[in-house]
Amino acid sequence: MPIAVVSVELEEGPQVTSNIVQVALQEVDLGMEVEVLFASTDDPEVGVPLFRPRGR
Amino acid sequence: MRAIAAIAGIGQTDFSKSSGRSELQLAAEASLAALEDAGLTVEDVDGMVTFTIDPTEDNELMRTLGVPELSYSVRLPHGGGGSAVTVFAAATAVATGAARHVLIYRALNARSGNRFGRARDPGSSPTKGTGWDFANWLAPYGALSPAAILSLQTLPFMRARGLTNRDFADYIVGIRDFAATNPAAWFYKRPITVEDHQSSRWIVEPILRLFDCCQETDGGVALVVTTTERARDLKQTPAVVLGAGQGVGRDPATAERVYAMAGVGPRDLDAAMIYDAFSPHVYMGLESLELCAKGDVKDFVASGAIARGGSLPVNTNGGLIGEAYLHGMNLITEAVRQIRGTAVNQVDDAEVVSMSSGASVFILGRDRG
Repeated sequence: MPIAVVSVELEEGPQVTSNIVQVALQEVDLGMEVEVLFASTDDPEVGVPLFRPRGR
Repeated sequence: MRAIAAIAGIGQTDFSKSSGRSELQLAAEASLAALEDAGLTVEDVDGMVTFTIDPTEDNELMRTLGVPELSYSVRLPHGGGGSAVTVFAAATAVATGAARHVLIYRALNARSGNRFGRARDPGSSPTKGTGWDFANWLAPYGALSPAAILSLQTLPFMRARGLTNRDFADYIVGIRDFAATNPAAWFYKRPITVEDHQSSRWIVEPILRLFDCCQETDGGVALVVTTTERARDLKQTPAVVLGAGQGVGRDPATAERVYAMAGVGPRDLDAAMIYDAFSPHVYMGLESLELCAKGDVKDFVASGAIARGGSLPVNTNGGLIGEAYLHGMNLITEAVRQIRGTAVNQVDDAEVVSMSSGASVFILGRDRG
């Protein structure tokens, strides 16, 4: 199952590597506006930052 | 350091998918071949250079070969990106007198042993000291293989230069043509067409197809570096290190420094060996070495300039994709053969040849006495 590994430029400046989710892979493109969400893990204190298209 | 050091000997094992022997043995075989080629003996070796991730220890190789003593031994980081740096380090050592004859070695069972192209298990192999620790930050998101990790920087470059995966076929068909006439190449007598390239499966869509990826190879390569003055008395035509430099960082200006050191410019190159783990890196390399007008790399490659008979043949042994993946070191031996005039795909009157891996570069030339 292919996944989209992306480099995201934050509004604050730094770039982070993550996945883009909640979107069809064919729609993913450079320059897309995205927003963060946090995937839960076994540790309730730890969430993994992922991104989805802004405003979905 | 201009022209003070030279590559005096080159050696290699067979390149295969199943060597049937240890990396230590491959390193030893390649080392003996390089010394024999140079007309030197193991007693002459007093320096060693390899990669941080090479599994063969310097003292182990010394005992195996019978090298009595080393006065210089270093390991270099950044994986294959450090391959061009091996010659820089060895040249620096002989130029300063730290050593007289430096043996550079790299041997790996990258197919039958620890397969290089596979997804890595971040927990199983230590990355500290290799220059690849950053990859641990990418692993949780599924970028686990070199193809995936190195593709993260590629798409913006492709978009800015108007490149699509179809364009990479222009490079690949050219080097598979070189490999087809190189008996040492895995793809000897197996040229491909644009259609073959375009019908190979996606590895990282829309960047890399299978035929854009380097091989996994078992084998060893070794080189002997000494001063140009000593090399003149040895068996082979010296391949003189005109200039060399290392570049670490986002966009270092290594090529500029190395051209200035070497006293040559991009237009003086007769051939170029560019680390081609994956097709896009050749396009980036052509730009960073200023071998084509900025922004023009797509048309430059499509014109046939870097293929057989072109104005600047690139990776004339078939490269890491067509010949073998000896972690960049088989591009160095090819650069030396071009200077000697002994390459199977010899460029007429090759006098100045570059080898580069990532942002690190060196330039070889003929001895001008």
